[in-house]
Amino acid sequence: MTFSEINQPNPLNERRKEGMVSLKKEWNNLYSENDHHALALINDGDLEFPTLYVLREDIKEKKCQHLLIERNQLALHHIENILHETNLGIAEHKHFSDQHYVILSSFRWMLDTGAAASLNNGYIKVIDGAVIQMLLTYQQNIAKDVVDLIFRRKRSHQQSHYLLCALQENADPNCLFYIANYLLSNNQNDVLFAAKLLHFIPGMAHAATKPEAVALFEGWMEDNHRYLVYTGETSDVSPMPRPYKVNLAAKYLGKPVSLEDGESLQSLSNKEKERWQQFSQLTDGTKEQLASLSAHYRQNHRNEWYEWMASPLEQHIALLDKGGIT
Amino acid sequence: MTVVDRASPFENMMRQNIVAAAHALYRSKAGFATFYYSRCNEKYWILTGEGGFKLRAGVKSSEAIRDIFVNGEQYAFECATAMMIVLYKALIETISSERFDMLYHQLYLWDWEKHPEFPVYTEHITGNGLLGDVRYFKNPDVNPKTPQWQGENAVQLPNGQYFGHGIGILTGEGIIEELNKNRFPGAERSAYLMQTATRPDFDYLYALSNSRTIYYGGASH
Repeated sequence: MTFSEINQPNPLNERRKEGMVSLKKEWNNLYSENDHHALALINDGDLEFPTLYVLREDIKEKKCQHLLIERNQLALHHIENILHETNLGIAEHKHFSDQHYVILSSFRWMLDTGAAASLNNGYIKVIDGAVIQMLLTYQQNIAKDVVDLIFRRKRSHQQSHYLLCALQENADPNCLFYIANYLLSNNQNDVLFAAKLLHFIPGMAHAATKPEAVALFEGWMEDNHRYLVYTGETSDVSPMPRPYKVNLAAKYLGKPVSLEDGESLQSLSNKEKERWQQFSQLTDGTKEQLASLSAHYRQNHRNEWYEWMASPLEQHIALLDKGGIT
Repeated sequence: MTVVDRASPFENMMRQNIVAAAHALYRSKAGFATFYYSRCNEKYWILTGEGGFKLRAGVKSSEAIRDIFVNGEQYAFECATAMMIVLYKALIETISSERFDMLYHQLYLWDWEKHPEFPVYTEHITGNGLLGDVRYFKNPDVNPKTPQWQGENAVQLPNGQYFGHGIGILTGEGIIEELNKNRFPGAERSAYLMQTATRPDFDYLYALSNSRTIYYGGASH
């Protein structure tokens, strides 16, 4: 039974609010009086990760780690790995699949109960380590949590460089939706930061209002989502990274592409391959205009578009000069 | 020495000074640290919560930058921070300490961000890049346990060499070899040099250095 099930907060979490020294003193006193009870409080389902983090040295000193539940043991190993560059993992023999879920559940607990806290730089590094592994090693869908964490850190002038880079490296364009949510924030710094992260969307830098910025984002995503390719640019590479570019040949042909290498996900006919090649030789400006024209035509007149695509590329370019399809 | 044909004398001078500043930072004994463990000489800088260095009020900005090169052992920072330090040092040598102090009353050294009066931009390039460019060696299969090895910002030097803070002065192959040591088990992709170059906006800096501006208070934190 957890404390929340009896409508009470875990007393150690409560004591932490009075400071780290107070928490450590309280738990050590409890342990001296009744070690089973003190450990039960640590193993409680409602324990928050920062509480365990504060008590880690006391637990170590009492050599009682083996009496902790798996969630806590793994969290302590993770802390050691991050702060002291150890290589600890799961102690027990387990099936690969079970190992995977046990680790994830411990990381998830750290993130859910610990991301809002910022005890010191070491603690922030520990949280970042869990998040980065969830994103990049375990490929977890935690983009919303990470975006929220980054913006929270920004507001409090705390380090978020590695989180942001990991989010970008995760190469999931859906994270852009979560970033775009901050374009409507009441906090002006949030709005500016969101606009900066989305600067590669044409017109974003000049959007006059929040709704205009959101409309630009939505329009761009709607038009280009299926054709985005990850560039490898993160905030470590550049002051203004462009993590995604639009594969314009794919947009012109209406073929969704792999985020990783920009190759078409669908098999292309010989004619389509040839057209892809021809299109790739055009100037950047022509590519952009023609891809947009084709996508627009396809969305509105699909049957006519198929016929249009059978005509030579030169005719499409000539159409641009005439101002498009009427 | 002309570094880049058809570049302005200002850009050529800046590029020479970027190369010289990269060598100087290499010799300075300044250490590498992730943003969690940044260090600085608190006589000149205030260490912020995000691991950045904020210029102390009343301190001359050129002196504070120079101190990093003189008392390097008191400093530790990330590679992107190092690149901005190199660029600021190059500007000091190009326009003089006095002029730099007049233009920059506030500085904040962190990553690429927060340098509104020292604009840098990243260009996609073909070919080899130019001396004094900041290039990026990317490590796509970095082990997530060491995110600081995700890549290396490095100043392009003569003779195929690069200066990366924490790695030193090595050839491109040498930097790639170092990064590859920090990949996850079973990684198949090698680190590589990206076809990008990060450069100061030389024209902007030239105009700024010749402007009548005598106070800048832009870098905020």
